[in-house]
Amino acid sequence: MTNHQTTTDSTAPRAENSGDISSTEALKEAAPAVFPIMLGIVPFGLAYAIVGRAAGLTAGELLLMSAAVFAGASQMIAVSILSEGVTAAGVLMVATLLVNLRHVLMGATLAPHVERFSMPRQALIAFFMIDESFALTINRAERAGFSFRYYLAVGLLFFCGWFTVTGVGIAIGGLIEDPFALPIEFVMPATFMVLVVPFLRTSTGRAAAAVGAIAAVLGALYIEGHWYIAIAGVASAVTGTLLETYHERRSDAR
Amino acid sequence: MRAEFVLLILAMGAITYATRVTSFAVLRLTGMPAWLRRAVRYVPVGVLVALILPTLLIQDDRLALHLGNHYLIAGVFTAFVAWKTKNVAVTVGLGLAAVFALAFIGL
Repeated sequence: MTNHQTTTDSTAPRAENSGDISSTEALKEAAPAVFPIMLGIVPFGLAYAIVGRAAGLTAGELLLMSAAVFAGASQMIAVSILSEGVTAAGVLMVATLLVNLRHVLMGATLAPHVERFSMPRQALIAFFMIDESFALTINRAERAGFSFRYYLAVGLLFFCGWFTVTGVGIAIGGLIEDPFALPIEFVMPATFMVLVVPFLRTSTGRAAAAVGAIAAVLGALYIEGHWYIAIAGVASAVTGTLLETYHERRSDAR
Repeated sequence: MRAEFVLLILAMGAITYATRVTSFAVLRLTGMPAWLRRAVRYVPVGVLVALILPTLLIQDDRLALHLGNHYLIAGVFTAFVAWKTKNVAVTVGLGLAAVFALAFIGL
C-alpha cells in the first residue's frame, strides 16, 4: 500500500501535495474511521458471497466481481440476475447502470474538492467512490479540508476489506445461517450520525437535512431500489440553494 | 472461471466505473457552473440522512414509528450521543448497548 502511494506521488506534480498529510498519517486517521463502517459492511459481504455461491457463481468469479465492480448493491443484484445464466446480460448491464447512477451525484459533489488534481489522480479517486468512502471524505473535507491521501487510504481499506469479506463468505458462508442476525446493521447509521453533525451547524444545513430526511424516507418506502439516496441528496441541494438565494435577496433588498 | 461470466463481470465493472468518473470527466471539460458549485454543498447532508434514517424507521417495507421498533428508540438515543460527543467509537458503542438493552428487557 505504501509503495503504491509513493509511486503515485513521485509522478504527480508537487503542488498537488501541498498541505496534505503524510501517507502514514493518512492511514492512522483513516483506519479508525473505516473500522466501524467496515464492521457494518461485513454482513452485506457475507450475504453477497452466500447468495452468489447458491446462484452457481465460482469463487473466482465472485472475488473478481468484488475487485472489478466494488459496489455492494449492484453486486447483490448481479448475482441474482446471473443465477438465471448469461441470457440476461442486457438486463444485468441496465441494472448495473441504474443502481450506480447515484455516483454521478457523488462525483459532482466531490468535484470542487478534486478539481485541482491531475487526471490520473481523479481517475484513481473515482475508482474508490462508494457511499462509505464518500461519507467519510466529505465529512473530513468539511472539518479539515479534502486530503488526497486520506481519501486513498479510506478507499484502499474499504477495497481490501470488501475483498477479504467476500473471501471469508465464500469459505465459511455455509456455516452462517443469517448474516444479519446480530444488530450489526445498526453500526452504519450510528456512524453516519456522527458524520452528519458538521453539516448541521447552520440553519440552512438543518433545513436541508430535514427536507432530505423526508425525501429519503418517502423514497425508500415507495421507490424500488436505491434511488432514495440520490433523491435525498438532490432534495437537500435544492433546499439549501433556495434558502441561500432567499437570504441573499433579503440582505440585498436592505 | 467461465469466460463469458468474466466478460460480463468486467463489463459491469466498466459501467460502474463510468458512473463514478463521469462527473469528474465532464466538469473537467466544461468547468463547474456557480449554481452547481453552490448546490452540491448541500448534497452530503441529504445523502447522510438517507444512509441513516431508512434503517431506523422502516421495517418490512413499512414505516415503523412505534415503541416496538428498537432501532428507532435506540436511534434517538444514539443521535443524542453523536451530537454531544462527535465520537464514532463512543456513539457506536453506546448505540449497540442500547439496542442490546432494549432486546434484553424486551420492551
